[in-house]
Amino acid sequence: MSRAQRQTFALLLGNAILCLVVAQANHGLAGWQLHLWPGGLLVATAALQAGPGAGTTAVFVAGLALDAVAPVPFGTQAFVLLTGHTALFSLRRRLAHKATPVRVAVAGLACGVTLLAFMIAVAVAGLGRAGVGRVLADFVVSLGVTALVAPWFFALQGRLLDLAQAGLRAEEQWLD
Amino acid sequence: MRLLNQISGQARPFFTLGVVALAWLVVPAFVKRFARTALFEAQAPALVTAGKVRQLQEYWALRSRSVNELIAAGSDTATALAGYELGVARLEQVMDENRRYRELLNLRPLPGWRYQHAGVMTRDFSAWWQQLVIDKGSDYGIPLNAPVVSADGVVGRVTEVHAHTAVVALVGDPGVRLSVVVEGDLWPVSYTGGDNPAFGPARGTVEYLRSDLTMEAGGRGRRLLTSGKGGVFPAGLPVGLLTRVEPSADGIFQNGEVLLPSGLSTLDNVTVLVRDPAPAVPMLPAAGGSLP
Amino acid sequence: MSPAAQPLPEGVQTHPGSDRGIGLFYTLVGVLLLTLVGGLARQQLLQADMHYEREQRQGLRRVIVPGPRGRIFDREGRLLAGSRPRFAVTLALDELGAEFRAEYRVVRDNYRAAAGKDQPTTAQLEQIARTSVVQRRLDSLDGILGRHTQLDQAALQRHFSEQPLLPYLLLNDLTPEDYARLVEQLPVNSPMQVFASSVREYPLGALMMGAAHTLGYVGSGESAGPPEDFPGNNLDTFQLKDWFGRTGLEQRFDQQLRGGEGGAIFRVTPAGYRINPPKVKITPSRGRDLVTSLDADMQAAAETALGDQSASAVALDVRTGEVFVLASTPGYNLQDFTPRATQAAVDDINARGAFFNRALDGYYPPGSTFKLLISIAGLRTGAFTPDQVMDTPCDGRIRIGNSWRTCFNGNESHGAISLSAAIAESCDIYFYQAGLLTNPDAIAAEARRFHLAARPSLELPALKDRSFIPDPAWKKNSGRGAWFDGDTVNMSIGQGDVQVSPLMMACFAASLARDEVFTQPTLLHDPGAPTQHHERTGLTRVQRDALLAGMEGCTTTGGTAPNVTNPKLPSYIPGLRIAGKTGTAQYADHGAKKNIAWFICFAPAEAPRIAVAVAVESDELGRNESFVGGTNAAPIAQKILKVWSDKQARAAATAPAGQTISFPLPSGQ
Repeated sequence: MSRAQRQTFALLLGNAILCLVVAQANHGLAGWQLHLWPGGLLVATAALQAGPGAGTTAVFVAGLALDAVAPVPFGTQAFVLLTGHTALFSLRRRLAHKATPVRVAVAGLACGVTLLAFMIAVAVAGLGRAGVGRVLADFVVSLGVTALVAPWFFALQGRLLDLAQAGLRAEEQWLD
Repeated sequence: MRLLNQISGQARPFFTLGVVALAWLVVPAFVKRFARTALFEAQAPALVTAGKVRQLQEYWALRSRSVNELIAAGSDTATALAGYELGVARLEQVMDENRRYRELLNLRPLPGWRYQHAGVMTRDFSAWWQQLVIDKGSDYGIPLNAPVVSADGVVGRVTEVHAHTAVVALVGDPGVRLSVVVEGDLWPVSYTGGDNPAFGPARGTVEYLRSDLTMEAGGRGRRLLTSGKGGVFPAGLPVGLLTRVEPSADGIFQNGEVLLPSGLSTLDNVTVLVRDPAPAVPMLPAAGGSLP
Repeated sequence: MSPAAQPLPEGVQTHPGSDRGIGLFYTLVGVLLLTLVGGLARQQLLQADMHYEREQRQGLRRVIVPGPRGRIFDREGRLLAGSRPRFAVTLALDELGAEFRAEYRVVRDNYRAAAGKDQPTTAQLEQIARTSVVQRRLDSLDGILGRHTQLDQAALQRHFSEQPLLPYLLLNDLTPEDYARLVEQLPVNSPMQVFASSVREYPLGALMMGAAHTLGYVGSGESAGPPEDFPGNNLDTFQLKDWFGRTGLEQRFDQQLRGGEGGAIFRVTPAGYRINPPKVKITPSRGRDLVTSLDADMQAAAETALGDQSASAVALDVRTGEVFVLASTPGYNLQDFTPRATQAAVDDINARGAFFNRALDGYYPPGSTFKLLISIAGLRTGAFTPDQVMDTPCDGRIRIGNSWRTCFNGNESHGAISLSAAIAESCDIYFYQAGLLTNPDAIAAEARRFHLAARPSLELPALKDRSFIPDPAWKKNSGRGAWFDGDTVNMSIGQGDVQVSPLMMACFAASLARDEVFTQPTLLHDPGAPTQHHERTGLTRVQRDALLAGMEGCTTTGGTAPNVTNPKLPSYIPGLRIAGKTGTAQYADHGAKKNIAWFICFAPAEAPRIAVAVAVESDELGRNESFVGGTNAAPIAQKILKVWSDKQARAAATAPAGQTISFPLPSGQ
């Protein structure tokens, strides 16, 4: 198995764990009519910790997995996340992406941008409607949880990549 | 040339994104359907396992109760059961009468229902959708669009059926629409799931209320029940409380706001109503089953 | 060694040094950024208004809906005309573009594969594709509703060429059950949506077919447009058709009954989906209700009594002139006009002559009912006195000029009788002589004084006034020659050129009841309406008593309508004294010779409250001596009086002592 493939599988495993945890959190939050959006973490870890191919694949598959359990056209969230990943990846070289505060900030930013993009996609395609207050509440909660969870998730992804011996090489950190 | 290479290098990820998007557009629909189902089924065991783990947690939490608590609960249950048994006997009698009257009037027998109880594995209440994943699917004969109920009344309807799980769109989902009546009225109105504000019960809206329908002053609201005329839900199931009415833009009717039961967002068990092809017989819930 | 080749310490980042290439790149990026910022500023600052307007127009849709029409009630608050919702399913054609295109390709490929000689044109292929897609949608509805509907291809084509952006009406007039099924089984975001509008309904339409002319029907049409202060005049607007009164009260009070327009401005997604709640919402207002003076019970009783005859009946409140009954048969069921009448229904109504309102627009010679006017004219001019016996007693015939005139009533000799008996027995010989004694000009003048030469105004659109009272001057001026005694005697028994309508005769009876010369009828109910007062008849007490004695004699034994007070008959109204007069006249209806049977009356004779006029046409075959007012018209009036009397008795029984009886008004009035 090539290094890129190992990287992809490590990212996918991390994403699957995240999706499972978020699903359980959403199960509990349903009582308060709240919903967590995992897009920021999925995009940020892949964009900051993986190569272009592995990151793209991991984000796209994670997006499709989210689409599979949501009543939206298959691919909607996948492309929202993929676009976010692409944009973030192109900025990676200009960010101090090994610094935890930066990672947390980037994950938070990615959370907001991807949620906004998803909202626009749903509205433009006429897939449904939602109250602004509710979207804002979900956004604030998602942002807070993302900020709290980001260090753990980056560490988890880093550990999985290390276990797979697929962590970013030094040269990839600069020139991807 | 070097500059051009550099720019194209920067644009490459976006170029790749564009290519993937175009490729996605030409992927045949059946491939997408297959991929979606496969990804759902791949996640289903994890969702079901997590649900079962939660149920196990509850089981062990209950095991920690003291004997005195269990005795008190058993006593309460026995009292409730006695009441239910009385109710069941009365129901059987009424259904028997009803069947005889229908025979006398040459009316078609009422459709029978099979009650399929299911556990809620995941609740997923976003701003745009409200859905549950339950632990029964085509393996238990759950059909698409089947009504789902709980002790509070209507829960929603089945929107996806998988091998061992099914997805239920909640009655608060903006994509769910029902034919309902205001209690005490026969005029069918249209209920649609609506905005679901954070930290509060879900809400829905009703259209085509009669213009002379009024709210009782100082009352909590008027109950909405399924009309039974829509062909999906049986009649008389509670949907929610009509809390406010206002004239609609067409000037003929009124629109209303519906407050849904708060218990909907913490459901752990539901019942799927499966239409029984056999002629109507009094189908009573099995012992221990819950039905409104 | 390049920096990239050297391992870098953890956490250290390097940036390439500046070179010409990078400088050029920065310059290029700077220029591009400047261009972008400049363009943005131009769009946002200089062309902001234009974009705002365009965004408003593209992102907003205005829907104008007419307000519900006001209701029409009878005097006791029963709904005669209301509005009911009508549910339909519309299909948003603009959302089916991709489906049309896909179907077009399929159809085109199929034709090519068939390789026939007559390949359809592109336009024909498009039409086939559209029809196929819409029929498929219709089939899906049929599947839910369990029926089979065939698409009207011509209507679809017309809609598509004229207004493709508006939803196409797929199914109309859904029952509540159909509507409930579609609500529950159509997806919320389907291009097919249930849509509600209001149409007129006439809950008593089948019971009150003879009042259809009075109530009138409505038809749809383009409204004048939204009010000027309605916002969004520059937006794409979807305006629903309004209903307009076409006949009867619906037409006469159209402005009052029509509701105020309202509507909403919705934001729409680029896909055309409506986003709730609307940005602007103006609730349409219901039109004002109308409370008529009609009494549904009496109207229904009159219509039942009239049956399928060509006839009419009018009943008035003697004091106020309020019309209790305005029935004309044959009538038609106004429910057949909601939402619109089929051609077959219209043809049927035309064939039966049911559009004609006989009570208002039917003009007939009044026959012997006119003898009441001859009596008044003679008494007032002193031509004869109440107890005077005419020179020639009735022996069945009399010679007037060169011809013999017969007494048509009773087939017997009335002998030497006074005025009261002559009225009661309707002796023609007496009135031939009374007319001659009075003279035609005095009779015509008296008829005009009683407003029998002009139709009284009523709140209804009507045909041309054809009421007519002849006189010698008219005959001479119209080139018909001199006025002869024969003309006078014809006029004396309400024959010849005298033309009156049933409504006019009901007013005449009500006027006589009040001892006045005119009654202004009205179809509007006013519980506080005062008693009308007009010019007195001018009869002395003795003269009036003689007249009333004659009228009451008409409805008792020996009179021409004795059965209306016959206690042995089941229709007997205990305690009600009726003052009436029968009449029978011959007239030509489009060349066909017919009889018209009349009965006019008021009751109670001692304190009149209600006046009735009934006119029944014979068919040509039925024209014979037995078709007379006493037999064919009086029983109908009696049935109306019976209902009126029962209601009076009930009201008197339920009203507390000393309380005035009044009719309840519908809530909200």
